[in-house]
Amino acid sequence: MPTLRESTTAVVIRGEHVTDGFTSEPYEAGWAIEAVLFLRLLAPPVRPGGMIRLELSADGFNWATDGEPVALPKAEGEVVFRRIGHFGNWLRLRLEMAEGSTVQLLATLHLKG
Amino acid sequence: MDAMQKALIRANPKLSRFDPLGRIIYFDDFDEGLQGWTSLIGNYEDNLDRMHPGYRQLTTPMLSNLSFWDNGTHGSVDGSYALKMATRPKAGAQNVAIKRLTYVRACPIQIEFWFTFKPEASAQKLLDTDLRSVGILLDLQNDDYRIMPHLRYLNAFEGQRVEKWQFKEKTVPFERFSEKTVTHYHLAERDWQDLSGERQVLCYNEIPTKVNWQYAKLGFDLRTMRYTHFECNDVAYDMSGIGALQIDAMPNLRGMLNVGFFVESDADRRSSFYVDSILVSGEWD
Repeated sequence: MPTLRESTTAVVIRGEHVTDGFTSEPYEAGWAIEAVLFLRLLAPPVRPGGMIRLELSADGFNWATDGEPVALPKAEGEVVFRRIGHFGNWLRLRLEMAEGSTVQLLATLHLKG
Repeated sequence: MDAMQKALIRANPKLSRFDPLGRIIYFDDFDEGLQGWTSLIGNYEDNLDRMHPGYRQLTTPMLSNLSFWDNGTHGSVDGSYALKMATRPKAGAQNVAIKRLTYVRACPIQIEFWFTFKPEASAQKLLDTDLRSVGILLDLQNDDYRIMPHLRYLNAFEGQRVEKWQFKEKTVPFERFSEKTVTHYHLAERDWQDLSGERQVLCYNEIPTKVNWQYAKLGFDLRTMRYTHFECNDVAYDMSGIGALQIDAMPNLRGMLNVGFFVESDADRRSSFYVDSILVSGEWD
């Protein structure tokens, strides 16, 4: 009987009304070898647009940007995802949005290792 | 427990540091994964915005190998990983991890766990008062009542070392969302009482990136819904007069046997509670 790999879903933004510069709490997942980030809006956006930056950290409090930004969903019901690999021990998300713009966001990391 | 069972448990390196009752209900070593430990989510209807703010702050637990910027990976008691709950970086912030079962017998139960706690090592100071508390709660229901034992180790409060175990037995008011859904924030910073007049100094060590694991053992009787015993390392507490939160039974919770861990920060810095392993046992034939 093979031992199944660990697989877990972390809700890193749970319906918070996020604005420019918002960062999710650090999520430690050095055990995982892959992750998928899913993004979904929980309410129609006041003004569509904005990006998510993926950030990596060696210690959980000093951060570096990884790769190209991910565009936020433009409408309620639209699902956006990004495959993530080679991320070390900590992950977090940073919002880049126009001034005054806000969305109610659900962001989840799906980790396996 | 007969001599054969005792010998088998003591010969097993993973179990020998525990002292279980006759039946092991579950044994979670977090080297094997999260094993059913999840975030506590508050009740709500229609929109997540309606969740009580105390619950909205709670985030998903992690598997941590206790890695630190200045000294690398610390690891856990007998492997690499531990369950980790971390607060947000704000004084008074809390986080909770929970595992939800139901009980098959109303019987004596015991919860044993190996744990440690640390503030985030984001300043090169001792930081020994940055973490307010770590604690354990049970959420139980029989035919008549919902009973919620809460115990916490109050490490520090408003910047002062306290180092005492505390309990809570007063209920807090419920808020109603609708005919069917209510909420109450039982972890609010109120109504805590000292378990003993004595301090219990737990080994914090000398910088935020050195970690020592501790042991605790909590006994509770599901027949009487009373504490039976509580020990932390080599200190045993008299639990005979200690009560728990008690409210009338709720519609959909009969037989509930939830165990939760929680952590609170005392400074604008993240505080983390790590659990290496937990063994929950019961006594029935």
